[in-house]
Amino acid sequence: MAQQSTTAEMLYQEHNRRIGRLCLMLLGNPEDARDVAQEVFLKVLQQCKGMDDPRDWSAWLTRVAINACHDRRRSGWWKWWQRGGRELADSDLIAAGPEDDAVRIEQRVAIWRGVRTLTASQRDVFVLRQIEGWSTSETAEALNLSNESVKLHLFRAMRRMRKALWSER
Amino acid sequence: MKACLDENRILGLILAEPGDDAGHAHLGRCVTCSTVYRKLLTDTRLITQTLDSTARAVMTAPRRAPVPSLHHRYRLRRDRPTILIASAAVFAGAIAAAFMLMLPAIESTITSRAVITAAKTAAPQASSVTAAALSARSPYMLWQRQSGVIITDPSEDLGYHEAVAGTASYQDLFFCVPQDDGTFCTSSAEQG
Repeated sequence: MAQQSTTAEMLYQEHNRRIGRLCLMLLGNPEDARDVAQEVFLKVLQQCKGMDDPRDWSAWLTRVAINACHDRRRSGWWKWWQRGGRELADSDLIAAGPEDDAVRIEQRVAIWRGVRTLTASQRDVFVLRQIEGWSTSETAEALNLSNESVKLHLFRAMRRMRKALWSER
Repeated sequence: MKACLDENRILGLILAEPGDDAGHAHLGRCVTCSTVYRKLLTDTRLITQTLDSTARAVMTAPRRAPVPSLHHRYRLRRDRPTILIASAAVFAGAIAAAFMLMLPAIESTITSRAVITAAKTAAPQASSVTAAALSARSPYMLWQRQSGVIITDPSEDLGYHEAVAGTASYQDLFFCVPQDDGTFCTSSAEQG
């Protein structure tokens, strides 16, 4: 029992920030991202009690986080809540790096506005391929997509982001 | 000489995995395409790094004071569609409002019947009250008759009067003219 909680704690220390970041990029809302990240680590505790340990905790955690974000997105109240525009605010983005100059702040705001225009699939693929550094086949497997779909989603996502970035320049 | 690659094709090359070398040979030979490639690569890196660093900063920033959500505020379960609960509340409100609007009409009907029944049973003992009650269609009209206030439409009484009292009160219409004392109708009996 003590060993299980130690494993869970170590995993939390090691992956908490990464999973939180991932959830933030997938959901676009810091509070929801923290909630979902906590759910993910609760599942880690359950996993430690029950089944065998996954070989690669990092990949397992990422998959659980993606599924938890999908569940959150699918829930009716979340959709209803999102219609009110409760996303990562520009003020959060400006406050995120006080040392930056005005140009970089504008770029940051523009890029996050671009993220908001992405579809759910484009966002998932973009985060896994570009931020997490997964391969096309790993991403395709995790998201139940074909390799071609992953490439297409990534291409479209990047094109939209560039468009958002250049519209501010 | 091969034509230059368009921007989308170059972006595709940037996003492709390292093993995918199709098109890279052209980039090595063409200055224009390699310039576009470098520009797109810079943009891609900027976007990725900005997203990553911002997300990192936002998630490590101290949390703002929690604002109670709608679900906590109204103690709603998250898995229950809020819209259904709101619809049920609106529906219940509409029914209550409709009932409130209909209440005076229902009350008027019930009281009117009670007055008529009482008047019929008490007819021999109190003929003057009975006459007023029989000619009145509702407590309001009874009050009108007793207090001598002008009623709006005396013909309303006609059908009811005949049906309940069994008298040919249509004759009363002949006497429904404004009087000096403010009354409007006088019964045929009073007219003599």
